[in-house]
Amino acid sequence: MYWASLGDFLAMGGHAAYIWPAFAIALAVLLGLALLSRIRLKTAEREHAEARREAGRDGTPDEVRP
Amino acid sequence: MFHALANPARFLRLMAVIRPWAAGVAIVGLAAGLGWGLLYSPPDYQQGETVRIMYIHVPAAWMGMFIYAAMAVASATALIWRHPVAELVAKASAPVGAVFTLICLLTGALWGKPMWGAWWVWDARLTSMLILFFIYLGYMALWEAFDDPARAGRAAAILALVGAVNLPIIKFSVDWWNTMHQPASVLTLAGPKIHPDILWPLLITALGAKGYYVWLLTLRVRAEILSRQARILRFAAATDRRAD
Repeated sequence: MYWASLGDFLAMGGHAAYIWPAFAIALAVLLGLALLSRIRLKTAEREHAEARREAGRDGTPDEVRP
Repeated sequence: MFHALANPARFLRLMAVIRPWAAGVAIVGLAAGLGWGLLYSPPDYQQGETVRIMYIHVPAAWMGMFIYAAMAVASATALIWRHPVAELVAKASAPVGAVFTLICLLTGALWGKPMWGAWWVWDARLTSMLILFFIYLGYMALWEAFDDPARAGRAAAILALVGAVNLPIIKFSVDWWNTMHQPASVLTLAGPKIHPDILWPLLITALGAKGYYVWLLTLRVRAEILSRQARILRFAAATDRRAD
């Protein structure tokens, strides 16, 4: 461990005001995009299921059957 | 392999297998790399603790460029071979690349202020990275600008290929012009020029970031394929009704 104490760690040698926001922004943005991507997938899954019901068949369009 | 992946159903099965592994690499890699960088790595003799911003800034910059390169290759594949999945891989990559580029720009500003005395300077490296961000935004906007996904895909793929000239400009900007930004110190012909105590956490974070990209790709490409199939199904249903 490089740091002597928790206070030392949080102070970041006097540059806490730059270092912690950098880490916080990166984390927030990455988590945000992961969340948005999940929401988008759930929406697409719902759309797909609805379109399948409306089409009244097993749902797999012929062109995507393996 | 290449042709097999043009089949969306098979591609989705592969994505489902990859997803938990990619998520694991992302979480472990980012936690270990950033934890190491924050807790155990030494400060820089000139920059002090601010050098820890590098553990986010540099992998984010690499990802911004790596994802753009992946997007350009996928776009070329889509244009040349009409590979339907490649087009959706490119489309799904853009927001992830844009987000990493944004993180690079923001953390760069937070690092520039204490070290250079300025949040931003119009220097070659910074400006070319800002242009990369705008190209990502333009690419995403172009996809939304057409009603017909075939035309949108073509236009976006061409933009992605044209924009690829920016990648060597970013990489060599620090050699071609006098800039504030420091020159390359990891990817050089002579090998890395930084100490292993700093290099390792950097590389592990970069690996975690790659995992994050692949993980999001498995989510986003699946979403793209399902919406496209839903569209085809609706269209087919509407045609059936007209036929009755």
